[in-house]
Amino acid sequence: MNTVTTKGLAADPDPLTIGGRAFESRLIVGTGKYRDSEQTVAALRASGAQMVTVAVRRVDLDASKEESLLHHLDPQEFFLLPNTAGCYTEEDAVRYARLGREAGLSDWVKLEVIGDQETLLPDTEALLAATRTLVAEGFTVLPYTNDDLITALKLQDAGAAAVMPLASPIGSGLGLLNPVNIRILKSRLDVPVIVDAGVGTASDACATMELGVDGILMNTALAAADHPVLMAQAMRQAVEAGRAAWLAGRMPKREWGVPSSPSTGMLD
Amino acid sequence: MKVPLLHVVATDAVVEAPAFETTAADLIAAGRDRIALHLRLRRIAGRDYHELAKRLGKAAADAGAWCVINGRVDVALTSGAQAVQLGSGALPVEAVRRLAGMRLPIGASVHSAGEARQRVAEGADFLVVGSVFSTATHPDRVPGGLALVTACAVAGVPVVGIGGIDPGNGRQVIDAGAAGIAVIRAVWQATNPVDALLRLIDVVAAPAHEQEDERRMLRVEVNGKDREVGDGRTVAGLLEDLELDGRLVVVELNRQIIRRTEIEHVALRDGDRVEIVHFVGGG
Repeated sequence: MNTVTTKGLAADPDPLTIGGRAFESRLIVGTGKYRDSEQTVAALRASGAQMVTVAVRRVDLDASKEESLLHHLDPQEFFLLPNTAGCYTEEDAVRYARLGREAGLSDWVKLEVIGDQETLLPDTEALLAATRTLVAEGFTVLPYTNDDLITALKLQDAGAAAVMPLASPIGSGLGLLNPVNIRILKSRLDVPVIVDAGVGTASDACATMELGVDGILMNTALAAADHPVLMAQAMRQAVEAGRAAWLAGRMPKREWGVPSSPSTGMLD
Repeated sequence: MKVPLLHVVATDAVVEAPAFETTAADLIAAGRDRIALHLRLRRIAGRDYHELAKRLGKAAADAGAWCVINGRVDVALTSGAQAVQLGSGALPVEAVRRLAGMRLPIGASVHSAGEARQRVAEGADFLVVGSVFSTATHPDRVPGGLALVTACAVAGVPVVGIGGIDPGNGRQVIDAGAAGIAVIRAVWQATNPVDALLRLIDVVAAPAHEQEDERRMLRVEVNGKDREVGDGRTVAGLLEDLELDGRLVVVELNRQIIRRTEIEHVALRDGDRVEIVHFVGGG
C-alpha cells in the first residue's frame, strides 16, 4: 500500500480512521473516466490514495474478453470501495451495495442515491432509508450527501461510518461552494467528514482540507485534467498542504494592517 | 474456473528420461484444451527449469492447454506457465496469491475434506485430491477412495483426483464429482503415451455433443439479452460458456445473489433472469 507522506511536510501522526481502518492518505480517488487502465493506475499511484472507488456494472457479454478491472487494480495495493453510482432509489442502491459486497473484498460501500438527473444531487430521504437498511446488514456505509447539517446528523445517527458532503455537484469542477456549511458540519459531527464531489483543481482540495475535514474524494478533477497524472501529484500535495495548514492553526483575519517588521529602531 | 480434464504429472525421473520434451510436446498437441502438463521437479537447476517451463508453457498456450508448475512459484511466474500447484509442504496459498495476484490460477494438494475447505478459504482456485486409489507413488498412503473426491468436491472449487487412476477407474472419479483426473504412470509408462492420453480422455470426457442436442433447451435472460442453455446447465456452466472467470464477477439470479460457493450447484430454469456484474471504473 502507498504509505509514505511527502517529505518536508508536517507528518500527521493521526491517520484517517473510518470504520476501524486507518489510512495514511486523506485523499480518496475514483477510478472512472480515465483514458485507459494504464492511465488509471498511474494517476491513482501518483495521488498517493490508498482507498479508491469502483462502480458495479453488467459485464459486457459482447466485448471480446475485456480484461477485468481487477487485473489492473490490485486489491492488495488499493482498498476498493464499491459505489452505488447511478442508483435513484433506495431499493436499487441496496441491491448494488449487496452486489459490491459479494465480490468478496469488503463490506464497505460508498452509498449514492441520486435525486435529480441534471444536478446529480442526492435524494437524502432515500439515502437515509438505504443507510439504515445497509447498516443493519452489517455494511460500513459512507453516504454521499449534501452539506445540510440535519441530514448529516441523521446519517450519523443511522450508523454511517462517515459522512460525505459534496463541495459542489458531481463532475462540475466548481470547487467548494459553501465552506461555512462544511465547517459547521465538521464542528458538529463525531464521525469523519469527507468532502466528496465537485473538486476541480488543487486549490479547491487545499482550501477544503484547511477547514479541518478528515478527507476528500475526487474523480473528475483528475480524469478530466489535461494531464491526469500531474494533477494527481498536485492533489496529493494540496491535500497534505491543506491538512498541515489546518493542524498548524492559521493566523486570524483582520480588516486592518499589522506590520511584520518592528516599528522601533527607525532612522531619524 | 475451468480446469483441464486430464492432468499428467512429470516427475524428475520422467523429465530425465530421453526424448521427454518431444513426448511432452506431442501430449500437449494431442490433448489441447483437455490436458494440463504438471512439472513436479526437484533435481533440476533453476535456470534449466525456467527454460523448460518457458518452452512447454508456450506450447501449452498455443494449444489451449495448461503447463502447471508444482511448488516453484518463481518458475511459474517467470516462465509464462499457466498455473501453479502447491503441495502440502509448499508456500501458503495467501502468500502465493499476494505474489501472483489474479494472473495465475493456484491449485492446492489436499488429502482430506477439512484440508480442502481450508485451502479454498485461503483462496485456492482448484484442488488436487489424493490419493483416490492405492498408488506406487505413495505406497504408505491409505487411499481416500471416491468418497474423498465427493467430500472435497463440495468445497466450492474444481477438484482433480490423483492416485492410482487409470482407464479402468477414471470415469468413476469424474462421476464422484471431480472436474478432472491426474495420472503419472498411466501415461508415462505406457508404450505409447499419446495413445494412452487419448484413451484416458475418451474414458472420462463429458457426453458427446450429439447427445446434448437432444437435451431440452431452456430460454433464460442474461444481462438483458435472451439466451438458450441446455436443461440442467448450472450457473457455473453458464459462466464457462460465456468464458467468464467466476472469481471476477458476481451473479444475481432472479434478483437473488448466488454465492461463489453455490454456482456449481444452482441449475438454471426456463425463464430465469441472470445478471452478471463486475467492478468497473467509477467515482
